[in-house]
Amino acid sequence: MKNKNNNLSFLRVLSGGQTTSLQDLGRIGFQDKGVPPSGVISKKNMKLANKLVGNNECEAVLESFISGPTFEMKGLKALVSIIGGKSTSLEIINRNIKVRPGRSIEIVQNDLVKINNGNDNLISTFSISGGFKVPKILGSKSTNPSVKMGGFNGGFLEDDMLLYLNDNLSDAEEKIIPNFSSPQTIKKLRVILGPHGNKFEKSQIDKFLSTNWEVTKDINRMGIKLSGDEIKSTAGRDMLSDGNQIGSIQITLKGEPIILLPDRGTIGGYPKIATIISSDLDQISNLKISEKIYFESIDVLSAQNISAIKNKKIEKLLSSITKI
Amino acid sequence: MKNFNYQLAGDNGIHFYPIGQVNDLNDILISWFKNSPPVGVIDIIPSLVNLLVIFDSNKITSEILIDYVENLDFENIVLENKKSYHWEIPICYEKKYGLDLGYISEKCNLTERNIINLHQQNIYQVCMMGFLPGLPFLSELDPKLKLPRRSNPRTLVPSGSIGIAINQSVIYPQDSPGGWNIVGRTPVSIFDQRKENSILLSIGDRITFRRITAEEFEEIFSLNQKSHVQIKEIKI
Repeated sequence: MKNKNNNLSFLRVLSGGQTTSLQDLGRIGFQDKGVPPSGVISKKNMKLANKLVGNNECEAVLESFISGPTFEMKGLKALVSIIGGKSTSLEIINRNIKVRPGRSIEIVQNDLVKINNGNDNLISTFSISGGFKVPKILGSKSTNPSVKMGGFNGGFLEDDMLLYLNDNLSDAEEKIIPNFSSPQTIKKLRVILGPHGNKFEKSQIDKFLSTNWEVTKDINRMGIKLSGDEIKSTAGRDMLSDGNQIGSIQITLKGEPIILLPDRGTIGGYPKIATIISSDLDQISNLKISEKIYFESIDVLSAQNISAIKNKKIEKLLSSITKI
Repeated sequence: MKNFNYQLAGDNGIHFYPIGQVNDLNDILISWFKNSPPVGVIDIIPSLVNLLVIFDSNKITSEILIDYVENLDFENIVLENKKSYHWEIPICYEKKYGLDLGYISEKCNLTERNIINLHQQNIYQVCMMGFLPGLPFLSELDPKLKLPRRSNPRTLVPSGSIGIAINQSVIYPQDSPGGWNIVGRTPVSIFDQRKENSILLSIGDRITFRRITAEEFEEIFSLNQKSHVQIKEIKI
């Protein structure tokens, strides 16, 4: 039988996992029209995973929250890699191989590949050489499941989906990040207070900074709910909505903090007590459900220094990547 | 002269609060950032309270951006390419689509005919967008139609539904849960992922609603399913 997709490589999803979606850098420049950017939680993971398989650093990758999918390779060979936490691995079930983060491996026709997210982190990032064949919407392949936009039919991976691959796998060779060790579970996130510092009394800001907050199960690509204490705001029910920065921590009417993630609505009417510094946003991928975290307040100059140092570290890691 | 107060939203975002003639300054700043953003600015989120500017902190710092805004010469800024459009959007107010007409009639003590006339007669301006991609907040609603959002939000409001609450009207760009009081529905898409320029409206655009019958609604709706129906622009 003639099939016009005959030459195409694809992954057949055997089990979709909990919430795995395709993400790149996200939709830039449409937030004034109410379009959340979406995109990867960890840009660092995305860059490392892509470089390991020979891709452009910003090619779209699969981001798995909590548990990952299993799929079957159909078509030509490809390189794959994973970045995550201490117990994250990529399993090639039929060959009884387990690969740790920090290297790529070749998979071939009919290989069964499982993304093991592990228990020490929230998110793992999977790349495949050539990347996924998905049309861009507003400049991005990113999925926003809450508004059914982008990625594979606007949603998470589901059983029996076919994920078509771009075809440039010819001379790809397995690569490794020498001396790579996956990050530990994160206990601390650094913040700059505000933007709505004036909607909280000092005692409430102190409480926010001194509380050990539990990462609850109430997590999706829009936000992460924390529990541990009740923060009171003077804002009240009829506060006018304003722009939501990604990484801002809003306090609900019940006094619960929610960390805003890339799929959050662009505007919102809850007061935002503090905002995670841009270079700590990647670390959200290394939170762990039920573990405690705390927030440390720093000033904007310190945040800029931290960001510069972190960027250099990532550049160093990227340039250390070498053939096995 | 100081034109804005500001609040940091991390090391890569700043909320600018205009001092004084709020709307003018905000409008100028929005257009300025849309048309000639300084290097490093990647997104803006206007709201009725302030303007959130989001930037790449490796390319521009908060300090430089604040200085930049303070030094803009608002008196003499000439805005290039400030395009705003006036759109005519068809709306069907029949019961089948105006799900809350009965409720609004009771709460506002108006006949349904009055509600429809009051909603349809105003020319609206897009003052903010958000909640959903492409969803416009339209001002100003006739004060006689003022009522709060539904205390019991619907789990599904059909795409194209047009709602009212407080002093604004909104158009739902896609099926969504929602709490606005629904007066009618448009058969055209204001957000269409099939199109490259998928979001019709921008902040500052004006909208006139044109009343259509249920038959016209069905006709335009089925046409729109097959291919994108062009929305009429009113030349001024």
